Amino acid sequence: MATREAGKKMIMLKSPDGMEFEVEEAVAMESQTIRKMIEDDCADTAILIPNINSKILSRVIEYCNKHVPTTGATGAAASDTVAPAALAEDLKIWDAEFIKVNRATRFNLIQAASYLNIKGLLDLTSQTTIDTISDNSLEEIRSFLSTKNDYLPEEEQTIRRENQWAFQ
Amino acid sequence: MEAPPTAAAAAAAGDPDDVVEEILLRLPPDDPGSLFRASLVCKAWRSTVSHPHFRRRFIGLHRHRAPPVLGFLHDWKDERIPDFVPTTASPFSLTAPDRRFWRALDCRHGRALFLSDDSQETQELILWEPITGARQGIPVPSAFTCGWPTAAVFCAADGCDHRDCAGGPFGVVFVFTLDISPNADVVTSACLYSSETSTWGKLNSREHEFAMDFEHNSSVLVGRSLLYFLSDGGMILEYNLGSGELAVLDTPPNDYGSENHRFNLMVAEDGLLGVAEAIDFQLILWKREASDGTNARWVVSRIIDLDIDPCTLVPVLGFAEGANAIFVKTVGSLFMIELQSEQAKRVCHNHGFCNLIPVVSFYTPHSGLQVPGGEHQDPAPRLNLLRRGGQQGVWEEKSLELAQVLFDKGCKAINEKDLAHAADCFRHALEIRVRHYGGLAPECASTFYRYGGALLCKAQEAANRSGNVSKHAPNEESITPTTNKDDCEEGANLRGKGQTDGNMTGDGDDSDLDLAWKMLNTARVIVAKSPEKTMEKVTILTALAEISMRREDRDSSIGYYFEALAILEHLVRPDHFRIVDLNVRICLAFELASKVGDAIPYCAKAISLCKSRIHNLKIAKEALLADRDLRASAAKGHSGKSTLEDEISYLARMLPRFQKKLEELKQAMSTPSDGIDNIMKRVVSQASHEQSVNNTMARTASLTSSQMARSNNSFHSPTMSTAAPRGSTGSSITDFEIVGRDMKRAKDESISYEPSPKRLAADDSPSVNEI
Repeated sequence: MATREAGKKMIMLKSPDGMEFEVEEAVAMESQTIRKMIEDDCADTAILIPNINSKILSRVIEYCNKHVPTTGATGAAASDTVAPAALAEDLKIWDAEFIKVNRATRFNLIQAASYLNIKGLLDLTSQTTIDTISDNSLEEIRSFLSTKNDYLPEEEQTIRRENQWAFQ
Repeated sequence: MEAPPTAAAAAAAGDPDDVVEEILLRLPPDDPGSLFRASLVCKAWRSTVSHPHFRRRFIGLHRHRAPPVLGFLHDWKDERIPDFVPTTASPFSLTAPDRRFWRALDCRHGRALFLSDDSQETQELILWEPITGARQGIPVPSAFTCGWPTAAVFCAADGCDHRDCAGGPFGVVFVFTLDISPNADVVTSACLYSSETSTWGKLNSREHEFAMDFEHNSSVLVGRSLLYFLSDGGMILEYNLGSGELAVLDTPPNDYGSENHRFNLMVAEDGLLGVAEAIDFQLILWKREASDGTNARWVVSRIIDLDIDPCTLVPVLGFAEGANAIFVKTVGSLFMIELQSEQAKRVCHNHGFCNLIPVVSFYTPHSGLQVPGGEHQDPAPRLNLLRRGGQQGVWEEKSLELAQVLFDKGCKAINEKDLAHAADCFRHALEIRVRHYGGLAPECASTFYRYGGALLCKAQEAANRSGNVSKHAPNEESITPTTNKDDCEEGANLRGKGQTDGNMTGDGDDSDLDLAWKMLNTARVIVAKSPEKTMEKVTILTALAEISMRREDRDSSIGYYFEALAILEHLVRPDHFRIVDLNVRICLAFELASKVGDAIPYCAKAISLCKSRIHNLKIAKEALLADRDLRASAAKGHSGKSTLEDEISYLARMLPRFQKKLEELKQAMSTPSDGIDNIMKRVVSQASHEQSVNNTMARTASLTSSQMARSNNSFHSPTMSTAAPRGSTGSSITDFEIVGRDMKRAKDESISYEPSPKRLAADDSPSVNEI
């Protein structure tokens, strides 16, 4: 199903809810997972991306489109790209806009970036969470990330007692 | 049409744990505290970050950078400084071996090496892995007798990159001086230990004109086979790991005429031996060119202008091997300087000279480190460390009889309220017993406990004295009047940072308290080894809870109380006064921790237990009255009855107070504005009222101790104060052997009359049957 358009090789990505996305091969290869599939010749037909719905997949493709190296050197992860300073600045602003999403979407994006192995997107989507962990108390981390504290009260007491520094 | 998804793809997509792992992997290595905190968020996160797979990925992800400097070990004397001082931006800590007992010698390749205090008969090395917390003892070479030796540790695995090699094979080089050479020269010797054979190799020696001591500096490893040690006299000793040869090198010329010619070994940029020397505002980096043979000479490789304020004197204290950073001390501060970027970072105040040993490693939480109940305490304090003023090192071969005499003396001194003397006696007894049995021997538990108890009392007494609260309240009136409870609340508000301030008048309170905690904690560790549930455990835990309370660590305090209660419930009948007491204490602790909601059920429990106890006691009294005729012993009957009555009347007096407390708590629950009030009060009080902090602190403390306590001896021992209601005073004594006099009395009395509360309490379950 791979087609050609203006001399560029196209790849068909398919989400589990039946949507199909035709993208340039170079863009698709921002994902190390897809890149591997293409290199292993498993991708002459449409590639099913399991567990990533069309909404998330379209956003991932949006990201890859933006971050694909303009030089045509394909395959390198976005963060490895050496871009002129202005372009890098532009990308940074774009990224900041891109990541203004709700928590569920961000979580799904992390999942997608993890599965598709897109380092730049993974770094970007993880950063907010990393900042949350670095800057907040345990209770705040739990509440921001909707993580349930499953330590027993006695365990928690012991942890606190033995690691007081971590609770300052 | 569609390519079949690979198994890996199916497994990977949509697993939330993977997402968590991906995120946590991206936490910065130089902020190890955030990774640790992440491990406390929930169990799933903990198991993620403490998995070896995570550690491998984490280190792999950061393969392009040097491992971070997590902090350093040192030998500063100030006890307030932790054994491990972090250099990270956000809080971090590692539980390093206690430096009062263990002198840090070296840290390399994820392992640190310590030598036990030199006043021990036989010294010992321990290897400590900062990341896993694992410790391993290593004997010193048999030829070593005394002096200031040093040692270096290194990974012995072939081709290792040393980024994650803890747990693998290692070697230790031990270097020491003997002055027994036939021609009166001194002999410096080195010996290599291999973890694979667990033995020391051949001793290599070299005669020298002067003795070499190694107190102030640790080693550097150059390449894979050359270790360098800097002696206190400023000589450089080279040890070849391959050949075992020792050589002495000259030091860089003192070209700069510095009076304070203090420098430190380092690894120079091209991998050669280097020396860093700081003179006034400049850091001079030397390297030793052509290190083979005699032609080698020192050349200056770089001069760095230090842009750190005010640095009239900047000795170099340490070099972080693997991270290429050095530590320099100025008049006011300690700085870490990245040699590559020349960036200086202030680490902490200047605490003086020290042998500063950086810990360089990637940190990921280790599953063992935060498992609740995991015993990662320091080994039992080596007793030479317990000498605090006087009698230093004069205890040689003391018989165990002497220990017993001292122990009894200590008990007697407690009775006579001579707490300082008691503490001294217990300390000496402990010294002897530990020497004889070993630091963590069960035989030492009671002495650790007694010593800790005596120190706790001493601290309490000092705090009370400075708080203008009568040392021990007179008899009946002492039982916590309701006003005390108000004080307690006030005290809660006034707490906060008040502890140190509050204790300002009572010098040594904190240190007594700290030492008490250490002793009691050691006792706890010892008794925790046996699975049995004993009253001793309860008593120790309660005392620890009390100390934690005094340290304002209410959460720990509550934790200890819980532990104690859990054990106690297996030991005594459900309405035993100690259970009532613990419930009340937990209630108060929760209240002080501003968790009124949690406090209420414990108060309610205490009330219902109290009622049930009164009921039982009344039945017992009737039985006793009926029994008296049969026994035909007025004296016996009388005393038995009076103690029963005493307990009943005591309980009857306490009951309304508990009930009042419950009302207060419930009210506090229903009027949340109180909380705000409390906060406001706290803020105000922190700003001022030092004296009143002092005062209420002490009273608060005495409240917990003496709340339920009958005066006479309850105050003088932590256990007694725990178990102190009228009538059961004796129980704590007979059960936990606290005070000699009472022990004796309790014994006498238990012989003389049967159903006395002392007897009752001393032997609980049977007494239930009797009743």
